[in-house]
Amino acid sequence: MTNESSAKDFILLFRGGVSRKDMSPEQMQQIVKQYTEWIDGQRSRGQFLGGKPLEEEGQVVAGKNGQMVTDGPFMESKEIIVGFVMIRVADRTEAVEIAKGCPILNLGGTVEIRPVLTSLHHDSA
Amino acid sequence: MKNEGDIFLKNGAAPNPEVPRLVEHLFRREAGKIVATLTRIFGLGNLQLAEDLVQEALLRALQVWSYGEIPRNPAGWIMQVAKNLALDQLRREHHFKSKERSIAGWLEHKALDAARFDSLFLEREIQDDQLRMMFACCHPLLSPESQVALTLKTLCGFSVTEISRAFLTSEAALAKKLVRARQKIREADLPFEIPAGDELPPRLDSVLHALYLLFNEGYKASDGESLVREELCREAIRLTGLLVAHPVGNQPKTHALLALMLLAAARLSTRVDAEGNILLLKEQDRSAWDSGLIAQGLLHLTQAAAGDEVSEFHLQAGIAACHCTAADYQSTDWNRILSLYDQLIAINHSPVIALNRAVVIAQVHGPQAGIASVARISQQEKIKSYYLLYAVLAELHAQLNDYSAASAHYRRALELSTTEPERNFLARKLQSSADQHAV
Repeated sequence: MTNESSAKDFILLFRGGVSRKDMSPEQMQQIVKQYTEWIDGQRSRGQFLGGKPLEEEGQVVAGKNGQMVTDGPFMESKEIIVGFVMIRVADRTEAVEIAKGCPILNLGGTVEIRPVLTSLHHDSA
Repeated sequence: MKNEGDIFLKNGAAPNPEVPRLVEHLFRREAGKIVATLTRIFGLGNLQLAEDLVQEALLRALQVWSYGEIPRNPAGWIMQVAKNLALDQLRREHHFKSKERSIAGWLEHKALDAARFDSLFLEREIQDDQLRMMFACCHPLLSPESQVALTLKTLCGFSVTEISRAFLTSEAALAKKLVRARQKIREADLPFEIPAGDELPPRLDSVLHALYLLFNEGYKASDGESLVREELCREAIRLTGLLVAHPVGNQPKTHALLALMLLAAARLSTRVDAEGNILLLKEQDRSAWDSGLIAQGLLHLTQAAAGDEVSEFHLQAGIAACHCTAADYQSTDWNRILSLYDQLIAINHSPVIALNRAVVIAQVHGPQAGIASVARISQQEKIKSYYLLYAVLAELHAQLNDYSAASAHYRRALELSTTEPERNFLARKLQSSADQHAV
């Protein structure tokens, strides 16, 4: 359990993972189950702040005053961010441990851990 | 969802809400239901389209539910997403004035307003759709193997990989079989309906036969993955249950088939020991038989007795009932079983049934009579590569203390057996026969 003063927030960014073709309904349900258990674990330890899946396509706005609006992002599917989870844990080590349990890792995806930058907290780990 | 969007604003961690659990095989079951309903909308010729839309809906569920939020009514959620995808698809087809005759035709007859569309998804209709799909998948124009494969794919939500694993065939071969089956259905321009009148009895027979094959595929103690095999048995029982619950399928023969499946399934788990070794009927722990399934099976057997017809399913269920109700191996009513086998062999001349009957004859009249009965099996050449033929002969010779002949037959059976459990079983038997011979 983390207490407010030493707690630090992290965002876990998921890339790649689930490939569309040839997954059976049963396999899909198993994956949902693994995710549910993973997140339940965080919930029970009071670490889970929330999380959402993202659609793979959107728009990219760029240029001064947003002159350029394009569809995108266009990148390889394993590069696309497919979702994120936000957690509150004691330190980086704990965040890494949680990330290691993410089912996406067994589906060919990756987890990127990004500490939320705050002026008050120092992660010395 | 009132918390949507404010996850970063929360001061503390999210509380632990009651997250609904998914019932087992929900994805697979819902896939079967929705494919059937979408096929009613798009026509049998667009079976593949219906399957693709369902796959898409399930992927959507996978993506959305993986972040700790499973909806209160997961089945309804998937159905709703599939509905929306279907509606999008119809609008797109409409827009592009698709050449797909069936969809264009459907659009001409039905306005695309949401209320009309919703009426397509009533619970009663969804049940009927599954029956329509059953009759379509098991249409006599398809080979029995294709019927079973297509049923597993569309109604049970198994993937090509899973089906091929259960059938011990290659994925490519199975995929090809399914493509050909869908093509045949499309070319025949079959209506998506429950047959009626004179057409019904032969079509129902075809469905029952396919369900029987499906069950046997799961039941036979072959290699494969035992979990998948058990699932096949369970699916066969579920589909036969759907059929029996519908006025069209509620017939003595359907009850007989269901009884047969339940009485066999009750003993499924006791056929091997903890190490996966095959156990003979006399070695099985009868207290571990599933008494609930036996009771259900006997109930359906009673219902099967209505009417005059005695089908093969009746006889097989009767035999299974004799085993299930016997207190132990010795007190089994072998005479009654033999009389059921006599009737069975009169309907079905299969040499495998004749071989089973020979075992029962040996039980009633002694091993010598059993061996004589094996020798009289007509079309014996059909089973000359079947390891059980030699395993039975070996056992009967062993009972006559002729261990030399027994060993020879066990050796032959061992050469012909194809799976690990079979080989282990036969090797064990051969060893004990050889030991006796040495004595």
